[in-house]
Amino acid sequence: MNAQDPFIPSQVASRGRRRLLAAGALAWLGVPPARANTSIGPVLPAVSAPAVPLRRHDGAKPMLAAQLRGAPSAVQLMFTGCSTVCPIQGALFSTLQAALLAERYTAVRLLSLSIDPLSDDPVALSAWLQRFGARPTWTAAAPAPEALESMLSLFTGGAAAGDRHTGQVFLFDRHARLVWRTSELPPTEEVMAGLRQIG
Amino acid sequence: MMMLALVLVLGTVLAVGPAWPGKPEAAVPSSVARGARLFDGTEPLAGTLSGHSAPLPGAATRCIQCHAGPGKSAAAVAGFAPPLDRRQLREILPRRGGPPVAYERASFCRTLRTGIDPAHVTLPRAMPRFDADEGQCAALWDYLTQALAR
Repeated sequence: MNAQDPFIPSQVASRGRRRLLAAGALAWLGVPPARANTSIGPVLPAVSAPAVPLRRHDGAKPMLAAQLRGAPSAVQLMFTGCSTVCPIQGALFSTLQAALLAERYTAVRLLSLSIDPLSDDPVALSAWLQRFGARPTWTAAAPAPEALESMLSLFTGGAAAGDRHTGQVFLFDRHARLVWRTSELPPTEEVMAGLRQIG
Repeated sequence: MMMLALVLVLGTVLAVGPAWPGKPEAAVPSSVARGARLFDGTEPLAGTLSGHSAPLPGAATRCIQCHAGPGKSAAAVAGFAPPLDRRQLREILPRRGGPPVAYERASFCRTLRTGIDPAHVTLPRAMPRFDADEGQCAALWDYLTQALAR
């Protein structure tokens, strides 16, 4: 075991798992949808991705910024054990993927970011991608457990815990900067329009 | 001889059960059974999110993903979507900040299709608008409002 590996914490206790889930998924489940919609449209000024180590479905461990840099990206928050909105989110990304292919908009990458890093290992993330017919430009990843708070603050602007997992799609430019937030569970046309805005 | 006949009769009765039925088990109406299949997704129900043009795949529109059905624990989805049972639907209750109302079958079906509840409050986008015909809607209503034995 590599003691420095952020993905293998020395104490992965059930208490830690409960705390993480409470910080992310469970808090979100109780949130009125309107609260997650408090920020829609362009993010001004653009916000650079914080230093968040990821573990991808293929086992690679890039930093979040490195994962996003080089091409526009559409990002969603999810976790594979979620039975409520996450299956809808997966279906929407699948539809978005098809629309991007139909318009030959192949430079855009999709990223499903888990808020349950203790459960969503590469096997679970790979199964998630397979379930929705993901192509190579669609990646799934989970943050290192201790980086979850930092990752969530990027997407919610430091709002209360209840806003941490939304069905919004977050658009990043090729410089790994958050530049656009969509509505909750957005239609494909809305995401495509946002992507055209950021070029 | 008489004793032998009595033993034979008694043995036959014990082996095959009484010829007279006791209290029969209540048969589940077919509409309730169909409603259960619609609720858990065994029978798919087409649904589309508000503002979207394409319907969702069946795997993303199962009621059971977000709602606890009659007699089921709501713990797994607590806080996300209301449990759906006779009490929740038939009692006059305030919902989503609107005035107290109860669902009738017609208003239930209208809510299922339009996403607007009997108090004229719009449901969140995460609740698909279902393309439910009269038979599907009636079956779901019958299943959800059945009186459960205690």
